[in-house]
Amino acid sequence: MERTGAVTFVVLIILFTCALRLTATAATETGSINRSRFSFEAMTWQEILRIEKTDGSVDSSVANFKGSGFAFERQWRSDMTAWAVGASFSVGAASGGGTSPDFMYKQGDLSWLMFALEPKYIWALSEQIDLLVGATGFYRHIEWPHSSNFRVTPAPDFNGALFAGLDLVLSPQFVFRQTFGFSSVDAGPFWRFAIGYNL
Amino acid sequence: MNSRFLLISCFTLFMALVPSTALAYPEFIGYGYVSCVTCHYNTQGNGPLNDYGRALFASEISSRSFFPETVTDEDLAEASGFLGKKQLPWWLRPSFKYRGLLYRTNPGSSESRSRFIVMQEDFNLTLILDQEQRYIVSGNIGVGYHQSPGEPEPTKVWLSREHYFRWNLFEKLYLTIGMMDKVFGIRLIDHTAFSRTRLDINQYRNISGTLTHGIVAHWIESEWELTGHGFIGNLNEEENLRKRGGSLMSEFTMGENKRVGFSVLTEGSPTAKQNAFAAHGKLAVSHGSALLLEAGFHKKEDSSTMSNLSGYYAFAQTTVLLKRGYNLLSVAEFYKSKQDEHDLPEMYRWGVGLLCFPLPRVEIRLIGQDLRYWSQDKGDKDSWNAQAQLHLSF
Repeated sequence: MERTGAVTFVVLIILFTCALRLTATAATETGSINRSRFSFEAMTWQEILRIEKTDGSVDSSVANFKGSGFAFERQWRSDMTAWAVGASFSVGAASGGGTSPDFMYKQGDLSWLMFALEPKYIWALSEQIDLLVGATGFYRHIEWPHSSNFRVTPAPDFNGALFAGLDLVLSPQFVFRQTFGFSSVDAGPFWRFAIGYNL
Repeated sequence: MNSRFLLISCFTLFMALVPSTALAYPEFIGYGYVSCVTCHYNTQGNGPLNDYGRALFASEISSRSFFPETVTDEDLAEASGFLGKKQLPWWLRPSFKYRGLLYRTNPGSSESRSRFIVMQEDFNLTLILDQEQRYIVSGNIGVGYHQSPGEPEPTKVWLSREHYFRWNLFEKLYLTIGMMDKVFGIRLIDHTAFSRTRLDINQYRNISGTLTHGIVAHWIESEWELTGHGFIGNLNEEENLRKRGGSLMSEFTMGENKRVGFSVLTEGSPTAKQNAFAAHGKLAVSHGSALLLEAGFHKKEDSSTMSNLSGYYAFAQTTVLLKRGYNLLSVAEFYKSKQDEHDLPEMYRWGVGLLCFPLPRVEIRLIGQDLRYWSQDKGDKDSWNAQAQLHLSF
């Protein structure tokens, strides 16, 4: 699982680099408008949390995550489309535990932190509304407390996800963004809401 | 005088008779309608559409994909009456509203269940008492399900969810007396929204205490509105269940087709009381598209159980016009509460889908919803549901 996550992350980094090159090329060729944006984000998602007892029985539980962070994004716009790349840092809390009485492993308010890089492709539905799709590669760190009775296996720290989203331009400076997506290890989708400020 | 000229004359007349603001749903601020009174007889929205609202629904909101080009928007507007193009007497405006919901919980899982619910079957009758529409009587009757506290199952009943006398005292002031929804926050059609369920607001919730008799005073200026609602509870219910109190709501224009507002509410019965406050925004984003935002908190005290509950909520609803009659809909909600100092699980709900008006009088909603609980000490799996709603308006 950890290896798959790491491979996914590397692939996404390569895509990210390609996106950077493509966007730079597109910007040079078309003389398109470049834009930078700083955002505050709030997010939640749900991961699989595997809890195994010493007798080998397994409980496939879930861990819920919530948090907030800051993101920086650079966009290269050309007519009705754009490429963008972004980087973010987030922190928050997670909780999870066994779903049956036999698995009395329960944890709450565990701290996590996450770095993410994400290329995006954007279509302008109108001057004030953008539809976007993208991929994110992230490193998420959390430590689930050790238990002598259970072996806890969370999702890998390195991972990736695909997402779609919507930007609503509220004013020349402010943008409201909502995105949702899935990664291969998510038990439930991630949802993210952001208020962005165009620099 | 041909029919088109008549229609245009009628439009002009209605535009002159009512303030220049209107909406059928709050999100129609995206079309430039910032207030409810232009399209509804109830100045706070809800209930039957007036002639202008019907015409607008047919000629601007709903798709015309199924009509040949020879059928103009004016033709569609002209045919939007209760009996189509056949004109009823000016003082008589009947209407019928149906809303049905088919939903499936956790699609794809072994626990998946389907259910069909008739949410609304209301016959409305509005009597206009003078040609200037200063005096109006409106009411409805329909099938509902009523559940009093302590009853395990709701009982099917015939009930009126709304009946009132509206008096346009002078140009800017409307007084409405009768049974209505409480005035508070954005009046969403989704009666399961946290902003409505947690505060016991919305006439379609079918539980005790949501409907109330009272008087609404609504002052409407072009740049702001102020509404006060004094209520004495539902007179059809037992006296100890009636919640008496009042609410106040105001909205201000903050730029073109952008409004912000606030609401306060205080109410109480012999055994329970509630105070609530909310702030909201209705923002047109581009033609036909809008963002609705609301955040608020409330506190309930129940002396019969000696318990207190306090909570706060937020929601954001996005409507994006893809093509006339077809919209992308996204709704995100959050609710966090505390019962007697104990934190209850946080609730997050997201819905994404399509809001379609394929024909005049027809609305279809196709929505997928994800509900997530966030507990302090465990992980709860999300619950999903897929919804298909059909709304018919005659």
